[in-house]
Amino acid sequence: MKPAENIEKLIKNAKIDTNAKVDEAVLDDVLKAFESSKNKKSAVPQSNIWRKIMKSRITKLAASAAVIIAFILSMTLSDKTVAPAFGMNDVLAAMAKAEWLHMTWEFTEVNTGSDTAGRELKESWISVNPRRNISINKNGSVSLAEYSIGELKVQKYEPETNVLTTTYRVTNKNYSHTSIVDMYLEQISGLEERGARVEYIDTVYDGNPAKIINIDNLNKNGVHQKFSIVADVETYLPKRMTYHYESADQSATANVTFDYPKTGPTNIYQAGVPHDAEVKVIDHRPSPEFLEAIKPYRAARENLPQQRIVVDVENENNNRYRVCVIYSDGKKERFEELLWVRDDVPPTTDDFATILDWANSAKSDALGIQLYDGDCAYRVNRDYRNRWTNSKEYSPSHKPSFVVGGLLHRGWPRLRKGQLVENEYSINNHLLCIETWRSPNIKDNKLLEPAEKTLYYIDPERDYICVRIEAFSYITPPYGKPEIDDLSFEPSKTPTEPYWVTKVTKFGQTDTGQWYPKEITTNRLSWWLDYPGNTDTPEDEKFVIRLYLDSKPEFPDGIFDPESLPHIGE
Amino acid sequence: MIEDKLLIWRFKCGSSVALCRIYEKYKDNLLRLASALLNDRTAAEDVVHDCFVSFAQSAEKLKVSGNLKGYLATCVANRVRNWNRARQRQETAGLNEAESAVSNSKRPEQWIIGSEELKRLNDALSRLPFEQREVIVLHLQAGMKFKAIAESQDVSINTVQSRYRYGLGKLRSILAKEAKL
Repeated sequence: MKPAENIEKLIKNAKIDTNAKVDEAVLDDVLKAFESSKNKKSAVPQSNIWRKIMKSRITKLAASAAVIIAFILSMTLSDKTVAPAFGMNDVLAAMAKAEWLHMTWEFTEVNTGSDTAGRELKESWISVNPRRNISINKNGSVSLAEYSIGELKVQKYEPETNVLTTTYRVTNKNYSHTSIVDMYLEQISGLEERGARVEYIDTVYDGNPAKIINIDNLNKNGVHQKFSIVADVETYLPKRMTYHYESADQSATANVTFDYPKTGPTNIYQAGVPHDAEVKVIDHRPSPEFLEAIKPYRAARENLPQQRIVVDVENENNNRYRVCVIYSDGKKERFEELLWVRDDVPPTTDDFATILDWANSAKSDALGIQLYDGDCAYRVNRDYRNRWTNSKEYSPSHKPSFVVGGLLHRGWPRLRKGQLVENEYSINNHLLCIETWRSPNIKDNKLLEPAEKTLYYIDPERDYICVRIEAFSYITPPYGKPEIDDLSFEPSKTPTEPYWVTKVTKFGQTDTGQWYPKEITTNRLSWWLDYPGNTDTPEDEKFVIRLYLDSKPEFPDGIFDPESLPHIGE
Repeated sequence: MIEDKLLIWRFKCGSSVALCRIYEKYKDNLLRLASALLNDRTAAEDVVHDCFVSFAQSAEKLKVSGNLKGYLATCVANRVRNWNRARQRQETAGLNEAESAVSNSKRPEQWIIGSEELKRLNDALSRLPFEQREVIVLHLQAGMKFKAIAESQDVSINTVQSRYRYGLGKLRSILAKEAKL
């Protein structure tokens, strides 16, 4: 044994040899397992990145530029493709050292048939750390997206109005990359060879030996794309690309140059935005007060009885009833949704067994069952002809959220972000108030949805139940369909009165003292309020939800068993 | 590191060549790790075999946030812990003669050809409490950082560092005694 002082070195350098014959046998087992798992895979559609490129507008080419390169790399890295004379591993290794990628765009032919030609890309920058994308358009508009852990900052500058809008958002996506290769690999994940023709030609670029990679792809939708990329053989870096896109109503040809500078614009002003631009900030990040306030709320949500059966009876008006029965064992969940559009009224009772028996025996007009067995989710529906249809099975990455109903949705709705605010109602009733916002949805200068503000009132005295919700938005009949076309309308504004208020009107308590909502009443205005020029009187709608809870349930046999679900055609 | 990223990506795309390369690249390391943790050649072979089979089946769901070597080492360490638990259960239940719960795979020959020095080192390591042995082996043989070990064991980094320090001290004294004999 070597001296004990060298103990760390000794452990580090301990050698092991293996029996080559057994090596092969184990590898054989491993490969068999691999092939068998591949065969078991359902026909899940592959990444739709490529399809997105096909559909992308010319103005979005910057976003697809990285994907284009990634596609090339994926083609050359594919086992099915003959590797070019120089290794793409070398290209990736060379690109891995780059901190910045800079692209310049020159359109030699554009025929978009729309007014977007002026917004053609002129220049784009991508940095690795922090992950940052900057696009500079011909018309002077500039956009910047900067990603950090859990957060996304987007800035847009419009030269016509000289307004710079900065939006901060919370994101679950992890954008931390250590190199450009990371960024590419993220995008090529799942991307496979899609029938494009690829050829490699030796050439000279800037006096240096280079390789031309030509890709020609015609997709099913008739979109024809041609890429011609020049990669430097010395540095292995892609240097230039010609891109031609042609569909039935659009065509464009762009020459793109790539370079890999040591640095680039680190803020939007360095990208050319004038310092006198008017600045607007939209901050959707949760405040520290919100995060503090939400902790016990989330804990209360988690502390609900894991084993439970809930019957959720909703009277939606006009003798239309919806009854949901939700079975949960903490991990598995079964959700049965029954609908009535006739006078088969659920009994008015406080007794759980009575209502469950009624739900199980009553004949509904339609029935949907969703089941999560801890691994897969299943859905079956029975239509009005009493036939089972729409059977579906999928493997969600996490426990799926089924349609609205049940204890969690009703009493502890999911609150991911917001601000802790105070108002008269919250102060007078000793409640916490969380304010959340939905941004207006504007597309092609058209308002699809105005902004919506929602206030959630939480009762700390009753296990943090959300006892009241108020929603504020300009809505148009029927039921909030937005059709606001008044150009002077400020889409981020909301009215002072809520169009929708829901509140817990009766509370229940389990044997262990856990509070839960027993009756919830919602008042909804079916007509929009104080919108400029409106003379109509708002109408009021009211509906009531009753919740019945069994927190010590005895589950029926096989209730979480997918085999017990009805089959199509039954 | 780049090679590993590419290997993972190609493996996820369905490349068996990439899987073979991962196997070739890390099998020795994992076997060394498992045998140091278990000091039981057959069990170590079973653990690494099962670890690779499970890895091969996980292509679709695989998410490697750190490096591949650390990921595989953590897989092995987790399986070793399960194996230990299974063995304890068997012992408690008086089922010492039952077959290993980890794997029923039968191979005609031994996979590991270890040297006498390795055997003595593993014997010395096996005299350490498992927690200390695990930290030392994951850090020195798998090259994992204390932070990553702390995360994988769900303990604080200070605990990991203490276990490392105490374990190494004890190991030093065990080996020093052996050297005197």
